[in-house]
Amino acid sequence: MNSNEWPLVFFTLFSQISVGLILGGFLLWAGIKAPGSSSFDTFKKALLLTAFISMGVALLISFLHLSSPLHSVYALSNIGSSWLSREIILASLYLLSLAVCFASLKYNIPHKAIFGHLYTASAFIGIMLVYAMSKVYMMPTTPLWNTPATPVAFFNSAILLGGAALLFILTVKTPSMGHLNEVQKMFYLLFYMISAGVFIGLLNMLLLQPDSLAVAGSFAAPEIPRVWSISQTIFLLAGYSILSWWFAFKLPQYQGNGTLIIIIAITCLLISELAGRYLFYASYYRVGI
Amino acid sequence: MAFYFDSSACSGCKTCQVACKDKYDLAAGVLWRRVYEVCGGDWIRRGNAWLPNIISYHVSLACNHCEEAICIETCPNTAIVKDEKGIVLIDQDRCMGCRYCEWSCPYGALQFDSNNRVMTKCTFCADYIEEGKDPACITACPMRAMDYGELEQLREKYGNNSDIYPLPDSTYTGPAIVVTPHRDSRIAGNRELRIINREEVKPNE
Amino acid sequence: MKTDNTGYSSPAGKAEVSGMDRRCFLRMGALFAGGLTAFGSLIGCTDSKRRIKLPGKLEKDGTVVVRAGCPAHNCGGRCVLKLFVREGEIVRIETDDRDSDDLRDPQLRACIRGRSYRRRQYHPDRLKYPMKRTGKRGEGKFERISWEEALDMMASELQRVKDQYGNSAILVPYGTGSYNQTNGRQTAARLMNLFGGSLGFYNSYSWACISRATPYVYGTGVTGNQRQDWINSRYIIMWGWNPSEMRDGTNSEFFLKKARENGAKIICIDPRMSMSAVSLADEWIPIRPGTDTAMMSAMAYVIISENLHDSDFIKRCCIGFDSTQMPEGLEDEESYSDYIFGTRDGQPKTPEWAEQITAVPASTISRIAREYASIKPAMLYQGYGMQRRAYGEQPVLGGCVLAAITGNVGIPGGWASGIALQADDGGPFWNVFPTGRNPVSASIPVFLWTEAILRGKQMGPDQGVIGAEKLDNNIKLIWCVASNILINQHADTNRSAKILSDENLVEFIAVQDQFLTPSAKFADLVLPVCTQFEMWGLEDGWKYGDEVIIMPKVADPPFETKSDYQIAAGVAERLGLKDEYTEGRDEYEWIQWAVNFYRNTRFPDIPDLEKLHELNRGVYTRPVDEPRIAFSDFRRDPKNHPLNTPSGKIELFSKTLYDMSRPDTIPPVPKYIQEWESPFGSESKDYPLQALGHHYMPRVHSTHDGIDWLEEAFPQRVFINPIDAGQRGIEDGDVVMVYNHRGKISIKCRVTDKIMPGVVNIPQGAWWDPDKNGVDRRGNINVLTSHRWTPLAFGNAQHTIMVEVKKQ
Ligand SMILES: Nc1nc2c(c(=O)[nH]1)N[C@H]1C(S)=C(S)[C@@H](COP(=O)(O)OP(=O)(O)OC[C@H]3O[C@@H](n4cnc5c(=O)[nH]c(N)nc54)[C@H](O)[C@@H]3O)O[C@H]1N2
Ligand SMILES: Nc1nc2c(c(=O)[nH]1)N[C@H]1C(S)=C(S)[C@@H](COP(=O)(O)OP(=O)(O)OC[C@H]3O[C@@H](n4cnc5c(=O)[nH]c(N)nc54)[C@H](O)[C@@H]3O)O[C@H]1N2
Ligand code: SF4
Ligand code: SF4
Ligand code: SF4
Ligand code: SF4
Ligand code: SF4
Ligand SMILES: [Mo]
Repeated sequence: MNSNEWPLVFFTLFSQISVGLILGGFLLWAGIKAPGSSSFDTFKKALLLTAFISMGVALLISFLHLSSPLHSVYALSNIGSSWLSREIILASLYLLSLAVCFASLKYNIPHKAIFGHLYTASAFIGIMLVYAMSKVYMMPTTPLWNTPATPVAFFNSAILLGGAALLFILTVKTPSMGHLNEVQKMFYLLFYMISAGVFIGLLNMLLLQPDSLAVAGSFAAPEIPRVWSISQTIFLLAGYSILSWWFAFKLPQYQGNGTLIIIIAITCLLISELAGRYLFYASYYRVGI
Repeated sequence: MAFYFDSSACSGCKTCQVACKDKYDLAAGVLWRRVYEVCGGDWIRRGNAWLPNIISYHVSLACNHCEEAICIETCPNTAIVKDEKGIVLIDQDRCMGCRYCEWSCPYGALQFDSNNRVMTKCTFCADYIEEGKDPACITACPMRAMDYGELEQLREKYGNNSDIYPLPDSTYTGPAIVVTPHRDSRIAGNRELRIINREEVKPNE
Repeated sequence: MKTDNTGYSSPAGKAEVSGMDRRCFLRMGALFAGGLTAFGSLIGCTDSKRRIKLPGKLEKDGTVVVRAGCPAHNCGGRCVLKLFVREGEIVRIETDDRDSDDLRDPQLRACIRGRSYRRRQYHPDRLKYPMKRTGKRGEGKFERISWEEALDMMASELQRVKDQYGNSAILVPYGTGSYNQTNGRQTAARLMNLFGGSLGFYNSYSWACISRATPYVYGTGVTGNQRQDWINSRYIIMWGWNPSEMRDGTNSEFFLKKARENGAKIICIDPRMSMSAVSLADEWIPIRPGTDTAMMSAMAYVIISENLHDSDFIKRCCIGFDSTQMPEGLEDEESYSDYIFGTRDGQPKTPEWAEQITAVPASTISRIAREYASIKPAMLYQGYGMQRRAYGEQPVLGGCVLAAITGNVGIPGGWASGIALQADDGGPFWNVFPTGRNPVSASIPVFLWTEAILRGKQMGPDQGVIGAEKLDNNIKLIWCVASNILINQHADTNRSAKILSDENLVEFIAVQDQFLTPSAKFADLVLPVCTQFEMWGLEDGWKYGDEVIIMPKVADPPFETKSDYQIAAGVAERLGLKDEYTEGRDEYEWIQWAVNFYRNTRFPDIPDLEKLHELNRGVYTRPVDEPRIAFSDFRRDPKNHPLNTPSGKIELFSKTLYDMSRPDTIPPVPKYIQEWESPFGSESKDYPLQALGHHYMPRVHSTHDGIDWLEEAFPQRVFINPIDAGQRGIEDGDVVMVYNHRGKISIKCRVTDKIMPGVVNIPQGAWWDPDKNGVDRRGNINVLTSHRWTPLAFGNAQHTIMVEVKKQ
């Protein structure tokens, strides 16, 4: 992997976290069926704010990776054929939509009543964004990327990372949220979300991502991708095991204490994600010379 | 506009490469035209004798001004365009240096200029073409191994082939190039071919 | 000539002004029809026309096109460059663009070095001011001085050494940096000859053996047909010959391509799969270095025993073929056939015998022998690399003999081999600048100058001295002009460095160059020279060709640089020889003189210099319609057109060589002799690999080393076969140590199948760059080469060395 690709790692990471947050928000919202509850409102604000900042950081990083950022206005000009152009437009639109959502929630601009529609629109744009993001890499000349594994992995990362981020917000916010049984329900929903992420992720790694990484030939030694891929799996399973243990034994007595374990688990998941992403970029292989 | 390249006559002298660098004042590291040195085979020892089972040839390559130029498709900035003569050009005033096109072009034609922080590549010497002159690299070749013209004309004159190792399958982008293969590329057989001057051409890893 | 206010000369009359004011408009057309429209208005690019700034476009601002000769280094070619000059700066370099490019008169297309010349011309390290040494000799420490002081020093040192020792203690050494008449060592040589002379030398580093040995067979060096004739050949052996890389006259590679298109089969015999083997040959035959005469002998064995030789031609035109043909009184000596069939030494020179030595399969040797003898006409062209070796005379003689016994002499499409200067007048002159006669009659073989420093007074004819029984001096003063021979290009660099750093031996060294070369670092006085673009000059072909190329001055000498001519004239003034030296001419007028010289000799129709410059073609050529064939008269009628040999015939056995009475090293018929450093000798225990140092594409010897575009294209490496690399745990790109008992080099390696096992190659000419342990970090092969010379020609045998390589 080239050093000039690190910004891309963080761009995809942060934007997927953002989209994952919004998608997870949907899940919670639908799950507890209490959109009006004031405690959930504070949670929603934190969620939106994190999603916004995350996406903002993502865009900033990608912007800084440009060599001639002043010319980036033209990046919107090729939606006719360039997935990168589409991605950039969707990313900008998505950020904008998050801002509008937040404004309607907090400042009643344009109006609180249409928040639900705005939120749905954001989620929709977010989904399009992740799809476009995966398509950026799916060029005919990059056959190792040009497989269904890429969009699956990208959406999966969004679910996994979004779930983890929500979990974190929830643990931080629990003390200020009144309805403990609602909170507990939300915890369970997030656990399902993360579980789905973990399982789809494992399946994707097993079924769709064949041993193509070594083929890419950009590694100094053939063992290197294996090391990375093993650490990806180990950290994924470790993070998930810790979480499972916490949900099984700690959640029942949970009173807003013990965030440390969660943070450790989330860190494991993050490391696994970073390893996966490193592998992904390092497996850049283009036909030709 | 299309190139013709005669691999059977190319000596790998790289005069074409430098003719291009001179015309465009390209820094070391930026190679609009590159010369790949290909080799394959092994040595067979028979008693005291050494039998070379070695084949080798060169490929000089710039941008192929492809019929289905993937770089044009992928550039978000529409900074890459094809003009009416079929020359694929980069508008440097529009390029933001994201290097995405570099990922997509299967010919390694796109060359990032880190001094000016924009993507660059062979322009087919569009200014010369406009004046009715020949591109700098073509007239440089001491072996007279290159030519250019309309793709159809070149095909009539030199045949239809645009595939030779290490070039990718021509179906990806429809390169506007006609190649006369070196004898050794045809008899390659099971000898695995490699680019042996990697540090000189910096191919995609 | 018109000289404009920027000081350079643009062609008079219709100067071509380049650059155009039309602007380019590009249509984006249908491309943008799709998705763009939606956002187009947003960012204002819905236009279907877009201006794209075309890079590389020269604006119309008085850029002038001047066609000029590429600086006349010793590069193997002579080409025309098309210079785009703006305000005294060369902004672009293209090449010969004459309309026609046919076989009679092909364009003189430049190579990578000519096309990169701006990177040399405007290199920040160019010498700018005269300097004198401040540190120890060779340390490379200097301080700037004025020209006044520099020229005074030069003149007074010359005078001092002349007075103290005599003229024969002065040496203006071999130096091939410039053949453009007004730059180059000839300018100093002329002054020395007016000053009473300097120690003479003969031979060259290039082709000592081939130029000395060829006449023993043919009585002349003019053994080559004009190159246009090559298309008549059906079969061409490039024997150690690599014209794609060393050119051997601009267009040699092109003529060969044409010959091949015309149906000739071409094979290349070389330990390396050279650029020529790749691009010109149908077959590559790797041969163990230094064993060519064994293969040649085995070919002769096959040819003669299968009766494929041309016995009629041999009978009419040769002597020494067999016992029936021996010179009078030597009837009982070993004839060529005797050697081949082993009647005296008991060893028939069979292909099987040769396979053991050459590593070429016996079946291949037989096949090539049959092809060469039966596909007529055939050429056997000998490169010079294999004669820059121990016993380098033998393969030269061997090649000539093969050409003769197959009757390929004196016919179109054939080739007599040997040095093969162009028929019928010997071809280009190289230097016409009149150096005059050297009053010192003693001459040494060029390669033995370090001997003449150490023990000149003991040197006599047995050391190759001619013109005197003994030298009367050791060398005490060296004025080195356009040369890097002192350190870089001579054999055994560490030895040369040691000799030169001793101020008791050579008392004064001046080096006149454009860069602070390794040789210049050993100077007491460094004189900065302008490039050949910065002064009027003129050149003709390199070995071959029928042209004169003019070299107009296109820029003023920068900083305090001067032409070699100006410097010599300045010294002449101080020695009281100014008028004799200059004859009142400046550089331009000498070039006028030179053009007249060509008119009176080779080219009666050449216009004068004004006209040539005004035409602005860069070159005057005489197209070749009917190529001259060497020895055609002789072949037709040997009696009335005898050769300049003792017998008047082609001498397969040379009585002259026989009379030297050194049959082991100078046999009268060509023989394979094991080299003094060889894989078959005991030295191969410690140093098992043979090392070549071929002439590399990106350099002219050491000239152009360190130029970025060239280094990028052809980096300095040691090339090694994967089998040898594998045995030593070496991988491609590793830094390795190449060494023998003379020195060490540490450089990166290139593992490649294109060199045969047992052989490595460090392209010659890289600038010696020793670290504090004396290990060269750049890769100058002369750190490893031997100072031993060949027996007959006293030639340099720099390619004969054994080394070992290890991973670092
Ligand atoms: N690019 C370039 N061209 C040049 C020059 C330069 O410095 N650079 N220098 C010019 C000058 S001054 C000269 S004299 C000529 C020199 O021209 P040459 O002397 O002919 O050149 P080399 O590269 O020394 O040798 C030619 C070939 O001989 C091969 N060879 C070496 N040893 C043997 C051997 O024992 N047997 C056989 N069969 N082959 C062998 C080498 O691998 C090489 O490919 O080149 C001229 N042209
Ligand atoms: N090991 C090994 N050594 C070899 C050879 C080999 O094959 N192997 N080849 C030998 C052969 S064939 C040759 S011909 C010699 C060549 O040896 P040299 O004659 O020493 O040739 P260069 O190394 O090119 O050095 C020429 C110098 O002239 C300078 N120069 C260029 N133009 C001008 C000018 O206009 N004026 C002045 N004053 N200086 C100028 C250049 O900067 C350069 O430093 O090397 C020999 N050395
Ligand atoms: S070779 Fe590459 S850069 Fe050139 S047109 Fe084709 S895809 Fe584009
Ligand atoms: S680097 Fe420039 S030309 Fe290439 S895709 Fe990005 S904006 Fe387009
Ligand atoms: S056509 Fe012009 S720009 Fe393209 S490689 Fe040749 S010289 Fe360079
Ligand atoms: S100039 Fe001609 S012979 Fe030399 S590398 Fe280029 S295409 Fe090949
Ligand atoms: S062969 Fe010699 S004269 Fe011709 S361009 Fe090359 S360096 Fe210049
Ligand atoms: Mo030479």
